[in-house]
Amino acid sequence: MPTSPSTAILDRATEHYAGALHRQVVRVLASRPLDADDVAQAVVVWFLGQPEVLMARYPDPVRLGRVAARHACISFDRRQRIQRCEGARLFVQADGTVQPGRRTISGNTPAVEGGDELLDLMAQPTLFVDDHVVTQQFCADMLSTLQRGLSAADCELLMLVDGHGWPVNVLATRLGVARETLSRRISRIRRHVQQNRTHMALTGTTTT
Amino acid sequence: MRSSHASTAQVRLRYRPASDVLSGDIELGMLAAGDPVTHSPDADTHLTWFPVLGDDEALAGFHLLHASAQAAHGRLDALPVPLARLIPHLIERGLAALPADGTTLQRADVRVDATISVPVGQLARPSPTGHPPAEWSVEPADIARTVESLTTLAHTLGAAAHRFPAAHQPPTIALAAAVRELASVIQRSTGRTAPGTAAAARAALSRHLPFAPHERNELLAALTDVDDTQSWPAVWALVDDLCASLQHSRALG
Repeated sequence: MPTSPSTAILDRATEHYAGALHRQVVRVLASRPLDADDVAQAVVVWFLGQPEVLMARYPDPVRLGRVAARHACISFDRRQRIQRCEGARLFVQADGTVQPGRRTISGNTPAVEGGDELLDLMAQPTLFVDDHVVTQQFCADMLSTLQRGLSAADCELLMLVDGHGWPVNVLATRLGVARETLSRRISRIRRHVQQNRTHMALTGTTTT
Repeated sequence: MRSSHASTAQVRLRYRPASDVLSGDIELGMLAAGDPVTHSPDADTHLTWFPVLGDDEALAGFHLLHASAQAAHGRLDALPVPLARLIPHLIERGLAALPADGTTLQRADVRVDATISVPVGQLARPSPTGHPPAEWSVEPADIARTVESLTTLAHTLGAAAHRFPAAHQPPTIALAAAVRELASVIQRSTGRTAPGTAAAARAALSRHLPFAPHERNELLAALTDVDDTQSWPAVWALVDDLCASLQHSRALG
């Protein structure tokens, strides 16, 4: 991400901001059973990775400190629950050992597709899980909009050619169709996706 | 049973000079009996007490924000005497360890540690009669008015910094940041004062700033009065006058 040239004034402002951020995280977490100073330092290091972006989004370091501390607490609690294997079901394996048969998020609800990835995300101390989930949802909605009007076979063809890089002639041989036929079909699918993209850009919506 | 007064506890101190935060962790071991109780006499001091055998409560941990400013103003009385004696030396060592030409990340990473043994008896919580009760009867409107005044002052200082000569910009930015933090902390502290943050603002004021003597005195008085919630109406008046004065002073062009 582009950043403006470093100046002494900007560095000074960043340092003041980082100090206030550290102090606010300690204020919020002082009564929690965790090392508030360590968590605050991790938040400061995260902040210094993109200081200008965060300073523009949160002009008040105290406000960012409260948000970051809340996320750190949520991640800490989730990580502790995962480490305590809360919610995990244990199954007796064929060799007699007991192991988690499937990872669950809570109670007896089985993890949906991508559940393992979600649990790993929640275990990261500096990741804003909420933001990440929103971003992922936005990307999924956008992809769904681009594929609107296409059949499942069309989507699969497009993924094979443009996603996985299969040559059209090789794919045509495997599918038992002429190369020209497959090529025309791919072109039609691409035009359809481009139309959906144009419509999405003009209307600014990702939902059907 | 061994008396807890005769036992010693290991006290680990950590000081981060870049953020001016001092943390302490006391290992009470088997002496601790019960659940910890966290007490915050103000927004910049957080103390954790553990019930111990033979005593009422003993200090188990603490966080002191704006530690150097609080130490400079003699505000370490909330901590046990052995720690209060050591802390100024630790702060001095931490400030000396800050690299003058390092990056912000390098400076933020600087940390100094110290470990001492303190008799548990000296970590005991003072009796409640020794401390006046904290002032909690602040009206939300008073808090909002104080925050508004301080926020306006921070904005005025921030806008003024760009018009000052280059040599005066860093201390003005530091003062504006301290006042802004003071306003935000008071806004979110439900009527508690923030003496450490106010002390840091006063320390920032003592640096070279292009203010007239009467402006400096008024600001110093306001940043002193803000430590007492009873004096907040006087703070509004002082700060509002000062903002008007700063906006029309020759220093701001």
